[in-house]
Amino acid sequence: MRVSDADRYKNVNAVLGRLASEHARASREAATGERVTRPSDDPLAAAELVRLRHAASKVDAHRETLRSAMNDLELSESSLAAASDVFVRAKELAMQGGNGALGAGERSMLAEQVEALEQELLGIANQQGACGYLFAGSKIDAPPFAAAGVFSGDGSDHSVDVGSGATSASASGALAFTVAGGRNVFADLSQLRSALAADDAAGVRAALDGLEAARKQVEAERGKTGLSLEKLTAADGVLAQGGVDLARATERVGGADAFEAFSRMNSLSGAMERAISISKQVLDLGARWRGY
Amino acid sequence: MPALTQMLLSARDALSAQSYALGVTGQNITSSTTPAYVRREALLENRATGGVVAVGVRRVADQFVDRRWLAASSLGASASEREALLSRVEPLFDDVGGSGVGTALDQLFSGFSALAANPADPTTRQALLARADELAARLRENADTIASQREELLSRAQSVVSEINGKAAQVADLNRKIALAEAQGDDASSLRDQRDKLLLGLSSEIDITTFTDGQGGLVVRAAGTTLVEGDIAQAFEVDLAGDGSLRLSVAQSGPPAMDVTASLSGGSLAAIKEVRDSDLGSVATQLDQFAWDLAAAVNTQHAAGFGLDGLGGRALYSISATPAGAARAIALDAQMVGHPERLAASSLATTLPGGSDNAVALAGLSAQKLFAGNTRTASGSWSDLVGDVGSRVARAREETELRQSVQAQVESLRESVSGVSLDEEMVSLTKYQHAYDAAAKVLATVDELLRELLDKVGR
Repeated sequence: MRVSDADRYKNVNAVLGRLASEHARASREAATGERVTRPSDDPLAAAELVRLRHAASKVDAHRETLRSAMNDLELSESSLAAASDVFVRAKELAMQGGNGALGAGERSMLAEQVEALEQELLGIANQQGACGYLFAGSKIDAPPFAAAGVFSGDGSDHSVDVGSGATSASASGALAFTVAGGRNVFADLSQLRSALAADDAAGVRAALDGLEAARKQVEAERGKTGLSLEKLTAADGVLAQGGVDLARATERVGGADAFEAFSRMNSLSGAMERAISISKQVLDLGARWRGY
Repeated sequence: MPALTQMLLSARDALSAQSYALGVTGQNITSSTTPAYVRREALLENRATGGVVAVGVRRVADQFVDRRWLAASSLGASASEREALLSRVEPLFDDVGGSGVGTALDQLFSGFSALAANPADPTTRQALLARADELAARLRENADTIASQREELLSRAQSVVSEINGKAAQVADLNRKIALAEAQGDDASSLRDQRDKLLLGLSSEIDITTFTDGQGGLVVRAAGTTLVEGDIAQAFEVDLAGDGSLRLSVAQSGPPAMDVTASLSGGSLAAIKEVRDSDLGSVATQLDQFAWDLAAAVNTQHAAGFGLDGLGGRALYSISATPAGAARAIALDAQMVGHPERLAASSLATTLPGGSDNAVALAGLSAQKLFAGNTRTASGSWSDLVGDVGSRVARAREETELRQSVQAQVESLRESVSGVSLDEEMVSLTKYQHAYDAAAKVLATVDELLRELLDKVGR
């Protein structure tokens, strides 16, 4: 077959161009560790990467939500523990006050301590978290409890989406402190304070049962809060593992084998050097005529 | 004496013929890099009286190969043009690197989750509204870019058609000049080279086939119609058909113009039409459907909730009445612009401001099959579009590689027939030079013999 000079030049250009293109791709893969850098590199993988990134983004969003919810829930749980302690201390004061040997002055002093506990409980019930008042239900923008425990919040639950569905992420102030949970715990403290102030030993002793019931009511809500916290912690663990799995899948789908890419790049470098050397010889073929 | 005189004349003819052949060889050498140049061969013949004479020059070409060359050029140009045009669209859907509509979509749903976690927080609401606006802006930007590219492609098609018409007119003119030159016995090789170059240019713009008619004139057919016949050239026109697609027609003296769009199959014009009407048309439709589905899903759920002002029933996005043009129309609803407090996180007015169940439902939309006729999720639908664009570009790239490979083979074949080999030409140069030297030697020898004869006769 005849070989024209133009054909010879074209072949040289084509070979060098193809090698340069392959070398550039191998270099990019070796340097970035990514095999798919645009949709046309591998359309199926590119579409899968979009879905994987979306799933990873959802995991991140859910975990962010969880972190925020868990912070408030932990605060709620510790607040309820403090509220429970208030009733333990109130019971101790009631037992002291129920002692028949105690005088009116001493009961009056105990009444003042109970009043302090009432204020402490009010502070606890109006505790604020990152998202507003913890025990307000949906009325998170204002203190839910007024003096004497008048409740202006509601019993609605704050739920968050953890990927597998909505989960409760709040403690109910209504159930913990108001008659919605069985009894108005503020009234129990108030009853004790009144009996102490009135120097009514029998009334003080009668208040004991109410205080224990109030403590149990608060503890019951604390238990539910702890359970919610455990659920959120477990969900966070699942999401964390999901995030790791998604990162692995993303790497598997879109990542390049760096060693293979590096090896290919070296091999192509050698091929290019040889091609350039041979091309030079091919293009120099005409030189023999120059001295003719 | 007559024999010596005859030798003298033969030597003279030989000098002339070898000189002519040397000229042809020189032309081949100096034109070896000229595109579409066809090598020449000097045609030398014996005279009846025994001498040699240059009777002309032959362009060494093979019509069959040349036809394949033009066809391969047409398909190669079509494939590479389509790849180049589609590659300009691909970055709009490049979500592989984590930018674009897909990322904005992820951020919108993350924003809904954040709102569910902290429904009364003004910063969270402000951020979510900004993300919703960003997603709409990305969709509009992509749709606008596609629409403007489609408009550009109409201009480009008109420009290509203008080029085609210009070249067709030049081919017709060359046909006339070639016929005239050959009728006068002149060498028309250079004119044929010019015509070949024009045909090559034409083939990269539109699918052409050529053949010689009964009178020896060249006929060029393109898009199923005769573009050039002898010295007469037709002119194409391009405009938009009733359905908005490109229409190629042949201009005629009176209406209606003959529609030849369906026969268009190669060259950059076919690629422009395919990309504009098929590829970009399909991508734009899918993008519109995506925007429409997104707005419908989000608006329905958003309208079911209540803003912090206690009012519900508001749409988050405004959108066109039908899916057509939805991606260019999507925007934050006017009553939501600048009002993050109107974002409906709560499903009940009574659970404001801490109610978050509607925000949870909005975040949950990402997992529901509400797109593409309730068959795909939001990310699934978007990934389908990304994959579709990627496939189109990848297929175009593969097609280009295949066509270029075929084109290279055919060009190589044509070069093997018509291309200039400097090695061959140098051998020819040497051959004709030696033949010229030999003829000169004959001339000198005859001259010497005659001189000697005349000397002896004169004594």
